[in-house]
Amino acid sequence: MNILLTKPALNQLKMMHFSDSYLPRIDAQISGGCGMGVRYLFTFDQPRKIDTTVTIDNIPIQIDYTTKRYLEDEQVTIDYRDCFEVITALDIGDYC
Amino acid sequence: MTTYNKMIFEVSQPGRIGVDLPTSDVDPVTLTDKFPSHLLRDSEAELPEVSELQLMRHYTALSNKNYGVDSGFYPLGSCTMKYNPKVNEDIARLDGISRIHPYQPEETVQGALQLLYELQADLAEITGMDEVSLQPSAGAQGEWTGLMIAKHYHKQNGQNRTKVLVPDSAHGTNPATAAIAGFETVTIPSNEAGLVDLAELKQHVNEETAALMLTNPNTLGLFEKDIVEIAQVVHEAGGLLYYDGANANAILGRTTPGKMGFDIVHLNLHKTFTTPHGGGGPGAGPVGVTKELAPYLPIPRVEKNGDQYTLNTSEKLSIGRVKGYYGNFGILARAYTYIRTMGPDGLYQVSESAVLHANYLKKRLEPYYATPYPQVCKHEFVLSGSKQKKLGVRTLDIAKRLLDFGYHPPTIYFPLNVEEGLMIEPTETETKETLDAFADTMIAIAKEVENDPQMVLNAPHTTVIGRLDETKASRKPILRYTKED
Repeated sequence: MNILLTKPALNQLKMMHFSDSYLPRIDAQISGGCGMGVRYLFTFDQPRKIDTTVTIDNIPIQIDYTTKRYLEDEQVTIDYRDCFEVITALDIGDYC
Repeated sequence: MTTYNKMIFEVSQPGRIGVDLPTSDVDPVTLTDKFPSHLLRDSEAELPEVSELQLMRHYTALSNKNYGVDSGFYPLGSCTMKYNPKVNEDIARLDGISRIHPYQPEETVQGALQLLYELQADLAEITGMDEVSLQPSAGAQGEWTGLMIAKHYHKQNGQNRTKVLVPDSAHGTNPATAAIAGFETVTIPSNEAGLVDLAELKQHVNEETAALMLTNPNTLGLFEKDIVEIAQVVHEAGGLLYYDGANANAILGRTTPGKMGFDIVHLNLHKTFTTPHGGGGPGAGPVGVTKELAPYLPIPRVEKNGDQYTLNTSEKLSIGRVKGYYGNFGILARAYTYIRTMGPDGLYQVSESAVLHANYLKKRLEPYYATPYPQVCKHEFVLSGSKQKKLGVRTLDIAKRLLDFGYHPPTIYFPLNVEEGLMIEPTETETKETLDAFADTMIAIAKEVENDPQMVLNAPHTTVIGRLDETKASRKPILRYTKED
């Protein structure tokens, strides 16, 4: 998985204060029922066990095992306009 | 054979045959004499060439991969995967049922018409409605039929009502049906207790409201205790109340949508009334309505004049025909058999056992999985995998791990308002031993998440095909088999 932070996203993240229980995360949001869909969100929460942490420009980004498995071969771009957006060839998810 | 994983083309050997055809006793015909050349193929069709035994083993192996209620526990929430008694099949295969034709004169199919007429009456009694149509052939088609009835009713009364209200805990088909029927969908959020938020409902009900579509118990397995007030609010605004009765296990013999104030009901016979379920049908989604809406039901309708059963095709206000002939007759015959073999006492017992089983399983699993709605449930309940998510394991992984123990997983990630949802509907037909074995497995998986999470994350381990990438399957589907040279 190759993660790219756009300049607006990087600038926004650098303005934020993180703690051990408040770290950026790329997260698969799965919806189910009779079918199944996966969206990707850029969110902030506490570490989960078995997270992978990717550090880009000193910004730690957490990814859990399931999300990583889905995005393994993907180019993932994090952008920021009014909110963070995860842009992949699969879907776009946001966190406002 | 459990690991057999081949396509019939991969078993094929040139020249191998399974059947010797007798020598033809008619003169051969040259195809080029009969058909223009552009319609004839250039090469032989690539059909598999296998022996009879190979063919038998291949398809037996495939059938062994199938999973259904007859193979094991299938607690798929909102789907009511309960046992379908085999007597239903015996009845549906009787010559008088399976070998009649819809174009036969009415006087020659009086028994079949009587069955349909009596099933209409049974379902009317069960739902508390005045009239029932058996035509719709699926739950979603029943929903659509119901909303078209609502549309025609409002139009006939000179009203242009364009909006259908749907709670966020509704079946996913409800908003889709409303859209297909030409309505705008308005979502009503649930309150903290998982029930329709009355204040929100009151805010959204107005002169544009055609109907409120409601499932009760809702998809969280909770009974909408304010249903009488909900009905009052919708009716006072001139709207109709639609009951999604896809899963009616919890209310059989206890109460009826009619008593709750509903105007239109659909039932899924392939859920509550034990007709075969899954694989896309055939199903049946009969629709019941109050007397006021009866003229709008689909035609033809089965009626009784004196001692004769007839088909009425001339109702002026009817929305028309929604299915060829009179519905899926074979399915209707199975449901009729189920209702008649169970009787009122049996159906009463269904709801008691369905609710008891769900609450028993819920109580056993509560210490291990988060329960966002802890109150007593009806026929199903929703757990959350939020505790396990913090440990790096998602609900999807838990579902995959269940496959290793031979269980069909529960419905997952639905309803959408529950984080990492696991929606479990055990149904009334399972034994306590089965419920306990499933609970033991769910508890063992919860412990694995704590002690050996990789075991869960990499599941399934025992199936022929391991973990699939569902997103890749949808992005880059391979839909055609190409034979290797």
